[in-house]
Amino acid sequence: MIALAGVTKDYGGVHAVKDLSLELPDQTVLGLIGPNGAGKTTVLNLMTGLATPTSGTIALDERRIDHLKPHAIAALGIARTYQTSRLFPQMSALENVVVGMHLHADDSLLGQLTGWPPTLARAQRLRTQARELLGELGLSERADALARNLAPGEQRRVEIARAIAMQPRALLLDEPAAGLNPVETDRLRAEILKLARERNISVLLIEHDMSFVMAACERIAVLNFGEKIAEGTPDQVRADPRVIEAYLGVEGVA
Amino acid sequence: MLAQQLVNGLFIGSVYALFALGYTLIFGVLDILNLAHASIFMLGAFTTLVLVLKGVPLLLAILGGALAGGLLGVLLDRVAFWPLRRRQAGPLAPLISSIAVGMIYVGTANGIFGPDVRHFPFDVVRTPTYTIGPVTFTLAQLTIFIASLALMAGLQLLLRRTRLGAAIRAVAENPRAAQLVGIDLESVYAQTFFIASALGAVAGILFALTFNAVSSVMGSAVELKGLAVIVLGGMGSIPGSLLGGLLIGLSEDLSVAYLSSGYRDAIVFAILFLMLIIRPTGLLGKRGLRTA
Amino acid sequence: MHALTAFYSAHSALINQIGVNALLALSIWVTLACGQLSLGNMGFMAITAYASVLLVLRAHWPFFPAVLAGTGLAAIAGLLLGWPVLRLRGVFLAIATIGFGEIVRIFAVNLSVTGGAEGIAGIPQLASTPIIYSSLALAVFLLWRLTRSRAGRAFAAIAQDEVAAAGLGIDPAAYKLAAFAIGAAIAGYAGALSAFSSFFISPTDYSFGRVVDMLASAVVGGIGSVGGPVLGSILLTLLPETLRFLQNYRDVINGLILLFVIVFLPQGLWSLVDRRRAS
Repeated sequence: MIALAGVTKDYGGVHAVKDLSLELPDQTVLGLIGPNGAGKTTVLNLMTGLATPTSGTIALDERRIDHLKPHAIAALGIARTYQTSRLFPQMSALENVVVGMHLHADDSLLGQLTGWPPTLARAQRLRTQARELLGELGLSERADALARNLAPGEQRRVEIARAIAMQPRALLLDEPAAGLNPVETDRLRAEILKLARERNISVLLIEHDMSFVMAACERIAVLNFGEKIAEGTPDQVRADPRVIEAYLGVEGVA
Repeated sequence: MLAQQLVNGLFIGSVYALFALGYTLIFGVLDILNLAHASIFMLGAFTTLVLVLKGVPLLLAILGGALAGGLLGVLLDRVAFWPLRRRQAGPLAPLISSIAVGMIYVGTANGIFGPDVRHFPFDVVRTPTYTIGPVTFTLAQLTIFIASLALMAGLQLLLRRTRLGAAIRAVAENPRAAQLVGIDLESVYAQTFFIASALGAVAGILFALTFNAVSSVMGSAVELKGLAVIVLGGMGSIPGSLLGGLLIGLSEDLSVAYLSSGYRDAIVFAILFLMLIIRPTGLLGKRGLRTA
Repeated sequence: MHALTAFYSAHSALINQIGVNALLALSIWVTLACGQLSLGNMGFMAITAYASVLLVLRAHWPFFPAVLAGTGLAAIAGLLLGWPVLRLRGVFLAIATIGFGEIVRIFAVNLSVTGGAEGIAGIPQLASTPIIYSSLALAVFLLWRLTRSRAGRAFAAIAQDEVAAAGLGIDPAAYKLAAFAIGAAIAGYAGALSAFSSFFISPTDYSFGRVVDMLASAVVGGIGSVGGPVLGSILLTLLPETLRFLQNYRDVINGLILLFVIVFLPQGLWSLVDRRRAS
C-alpha cells in the first residue's frame, strides 16, 4: 500500500498540493480526478520522486519514500506513465519494453561482453517476454517499429507495456486515454484492468474521461486547487455536492 | 604595480567581453554554442589589415572589418545552422557544423595569408602614451576600452529600446510564441548573427591593434577564454558578459603579477569549472534558466 | 607480399595514427552513447601518456604494466571529473570538461616532471601496429557487446530520456559515471599508444583541437553504432594526407566535408553501410 499523509507541495508560495492524505491499497484501482490545474500530475510526481514534498510523508507499506530518488522508488515497485509520451524515440517498441525489464534483467555484463551462450539465451528470453507482453496489448505487428513512428494510441500502449515490464506493485497512469477515440478508450480500459488483475498490480488512474474513470475504478478521489474535496465509490463521488460544484461550468460529472 | 595590473586587466577584459557577447547573444537566441565565432574574430582583423594596407583610413577599415564579420556571420547561419533548424536536429549537430565552418574560415585565411603573423604599419598603431600617477597606458588602449563599453551599451539599448531588440528577446524567450505574434524567425536569426558576428569581428580588430599582430590562429587565443567569460557572467546575459570579461581580464593580470605567469590560464579555467559546479547560471544569469 | 611490406614501411606512421584515432573517437562515443557531451578527453590522453612514459623512462617499468597503470589513473580521473559535473547537461557539460582538459594541458606545460613546453623526447617505439590494431579490435568488440547488454540498454535509455529511464529503475548517476570512466580509460590508453608510437610528446598534442578531431570523427562516422566512429576516424585521418597538395587550403576541404556530412547525412557515414538505422 502506498500512503500519502498530509502532503503539501509549494511552488513559489503557491500550493500545488495541500495537506493531501490518500491511500492506494494493494490490488485496487483508484481514480484521481479534478479540474485542470488541480494538482493531479504533481501528486504523481511526488509519488515517483520527480518532486519532493514541502511537508508531509509518502510511504510504501511502512517505508518512507518521499526523499528517495526516482530510480530507487521505481526499484521498490512503483511504475508510471506520462501525460505526453516519454518512450525512447530511437528504440523500437520491443527495445522500449526490454529496457522496462531493467530491474529484473538477468543477462550478466560479463556474459554479454564475452558472448557467453547461456547469457545470450537469457537475453533472448527477455526479448521473447517483451514480445509476448506487446502481444497482450495487441501490438505484435508493431514490435519492431521505432517508437517515434508509432501512432499516438500505440505509443500509449507501448508505454503501459514498458511499465508493466517492470513487474511493479503499483502502476500510476497519467491520462492514458487522452487523445484516444471512444473505441480505443474502451479497449485500453479493458486491457489495463485485465493486466492489473492478472498481475496483482494496484492502479492509480488520473483521467479526464469521466466514463473511463467511473467504469474502471473502485474508488475515486477528487482534487480541486490541490486539496482533496471528496473520496468514495463512483456513485458517492458522483452525488457529492462539492464535486458537482467544482466541476460546475467545466464539464458534467455524470 | 597593482594599479597598473588592474588597468591592463580592464583593457584586455573589455575586449574579451566584446568577443564573448557574440557567443552569449547566439546562445541566448538559438541555444547554440557557436564555435565558428573565433574564426570571425580573426577574419575581422584580417579584413581591417588588408583595408589599412590598401590605404583606407583606420576608422573606415574597422567599419569594413565589422561589416565583413557580420556578413560572414549571416553566411555561417545559412550554411551551418539553417539546414539543421529545418530538420530539428539535436544540439550536437550545430556544434559540429560550427566547427566545420570555423575550419573553412581559418583554412581560407591560412590559404590567402599563410601561417605567418602580420602587422599593421607602425604609423597606424603608434599612439601617444599617458601616465597618470602609477599607471601608464596608450591612447589606443583607452580608445579600445571606451569603444568596447560603448558597443556593449549600444547593444543593450538596441535590445531594450528597439523593435528588433524586442523581437530578439521574444524569440530568445519562446520562438513558437514569437512566431504566433507575427515575428519572422528567420529574419531575427539572420540579424542576430549579423550583430553578434560584427561585434566579434570588432573584438578581433581591437585585439589585433592592441598587440599589433594578426594571424590565422589568433582566434584560438580567445576561443576558450570567451567560454569562461560567458559561464562566469551568465549565459545569455549582456551585463554578465561585461562583468565576466572584466573579471577574467583582471584575474589574468593579477595571477601573472602575484602567482606565476605559466598558470595564468589554469586560473581562468579553474574559475570556469568551479562556476559551473557551484552556480551554472553564472553571476548575472537567471537561476535555473538553462540548466535543464 | 613484397609490395605489401613496402607499402607498410612507407605508411606505418599513418596506419598507426588511424588506429589510435579510432580508439580516441570511440572514447568520446562512449559518453555520447550515454547522452553526455564530454570534451575533456585530451586531458585523459595526457594523463596516461605522461604517466606511462615516465614509468617506462624513469622507473624502468615494462611497457604493458606502465600503460595499464596510466590507464587506471585516467579512469580514476574520469570518475573524479564525472562526479561534480553530473548535474550539468549539453553545452554546459561540454564547457566544464573542456576546462578540465585545458587545466591538464597547462599543468603539463608548467611542471618540470613533464618536461614543460618541450615535452619528453626519446620515447621507445613500443606500441607496434599489431598492438594498436588488436587493441582497437578488442575495444570495438567489447563496446559492441556492451551496447547489447543491460548496461548498454541503460546508456541508450539515459541518452534518449533520462527522466523516463530513472522511472524504470535505472540509476542515471551510476551509469553516467561508468560512461565517464570507460571513456577516460579508452582515451588514456589511446594516448599512451600514441605516445609510444612517436618519438616525443609535448603539451600541444593535448590541446582543444585534439578533442575537436575526436568529436568530428565520431559524428561524421555516425554515433548510432560502434562502427561509425571507426569509419569516421579512417576518413578524417586519411583525408588531410590525400589533400597535402592543397597546402594551406587543406582545412577548407576538411571543413566542407564535415559540413556536408552533418547537413546531408544526419546519421553519419555509417548509415550508408547499415541502412537499417537510417530510416
